[in-house]
Amino acid sequence: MSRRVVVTGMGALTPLGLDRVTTWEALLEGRNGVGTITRFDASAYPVRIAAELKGFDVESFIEKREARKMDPSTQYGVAASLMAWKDSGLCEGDFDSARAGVIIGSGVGGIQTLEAQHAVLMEKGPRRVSPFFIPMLIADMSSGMVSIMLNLKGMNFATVSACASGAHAIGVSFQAVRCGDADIMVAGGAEAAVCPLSVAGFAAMRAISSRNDEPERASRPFDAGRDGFIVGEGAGIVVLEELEHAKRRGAVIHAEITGYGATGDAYHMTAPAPGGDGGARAMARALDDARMVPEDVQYINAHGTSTPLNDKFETAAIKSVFGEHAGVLAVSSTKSMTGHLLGAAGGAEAIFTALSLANSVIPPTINYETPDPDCDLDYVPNQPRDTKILNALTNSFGFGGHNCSIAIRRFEG
Amino acid sequence: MADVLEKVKQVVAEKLQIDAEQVTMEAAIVEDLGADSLEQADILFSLEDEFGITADDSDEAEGLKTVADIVAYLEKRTG
Repeated sequence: MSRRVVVTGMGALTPLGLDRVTTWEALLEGRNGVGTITRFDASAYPVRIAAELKGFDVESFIEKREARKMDPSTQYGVAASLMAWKDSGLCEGDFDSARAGVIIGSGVGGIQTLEAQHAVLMEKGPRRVSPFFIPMLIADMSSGMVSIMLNLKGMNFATVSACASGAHAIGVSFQAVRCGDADIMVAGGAEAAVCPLSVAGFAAMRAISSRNDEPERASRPFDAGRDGFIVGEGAGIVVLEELEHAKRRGAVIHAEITGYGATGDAYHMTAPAPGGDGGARAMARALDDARMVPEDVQYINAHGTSTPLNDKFETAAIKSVFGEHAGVLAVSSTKSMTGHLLGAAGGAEAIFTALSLANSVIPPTINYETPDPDCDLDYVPNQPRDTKILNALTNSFGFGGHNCSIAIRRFEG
Repeated sequence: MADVLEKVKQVVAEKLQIDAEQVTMEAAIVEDLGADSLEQADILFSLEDEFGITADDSDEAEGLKTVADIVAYLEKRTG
């Protein structure tokens, strides 16, 4: 019999709040986490808005001596993991450490460290580059540090698939637990890319919104006036656990992961394939993996970035997979409130989806004002919706043509 | 000498988040103060930066074990 995989811990660090509960409350209030960039002087940049974490105090999670050797992306990944672990209630003796692993993805890893150390190299020469530069830069260090702090000796690596990194981490972790390679996986994503090089680069691509005068209205997925995503930062981490393992220790079960679909576009570096072909195949595979038919799904937490192409093609993809049912199910983009957490998005949005299932309420797509003929689904505009949902998908797509969809079910025993 | 020692104490204490009083002349950076190899290198690079020197003889720098070794090295280099 196939092993079942449940979510027993969740930790989030987002522009809406420094924990999962605060973030969830903000999502249901339709609050917006986007503002003028404060992290650096962006006055000369074409884009001057982002979704920054506010008031993160690393020392409430990690001792200063250790924290200073971590890039912010790793600090976020570790902090969210510690919150998720605490939430899971797992204690030493509850589990076999060799069968507990960590997979935390990141789109770019330590880009702030890269910026700072490159400046040191240019100004002071090679002898002044920090011995911590490489360990702070590499995108797999959240996974490494979490394993050290929690003594988890099972599989350990990172996924890198741009904005799908966090989702892929959860997908492969789900597979590892289901197939019996692990009993417990700490999985998700972390990103800290609100920095000059990143904002300049995304702006050069014309990928991000330049609605500088109205930051609170800039992230507007599926709305006709959308003009790009908002660079966000944070982390979203879940603890996945084999069902019987969780039951034996009397764990609180938030939701069940039932399917995972991953595909490649084989089309273009950054543009999604026409019609959302790759995303559609990822959703279809996730449904198949979960042994579901389209009519079983009531909600999709969309990738919904607020770029003209993503939202149009994701809509087309949903319609191609779900047929007439596409007009029945609810689709919302929480990125309208959090901004785009890039490699952390899939982790955070898996948590939001699990909370939707557990609490029977769907967070809205805010800033939805003007319908776009290419985006004609029910996007849960501007107000949360109380409705019992049994099955949901959460989508994540990344530059490079990486598509990932995860099926999550309300846990009812 | 006193100035160099004070600076070394300050940097080592800050990097390792320990009390400056623990940073005595006899203390070995790794064995007594608990630095790992990266922290050891970080301390040395920071001190070189503070004193405006660049170690071109890395063998000599790598042999530094105690606070006294580091103080002597820095005094020689800045001498």
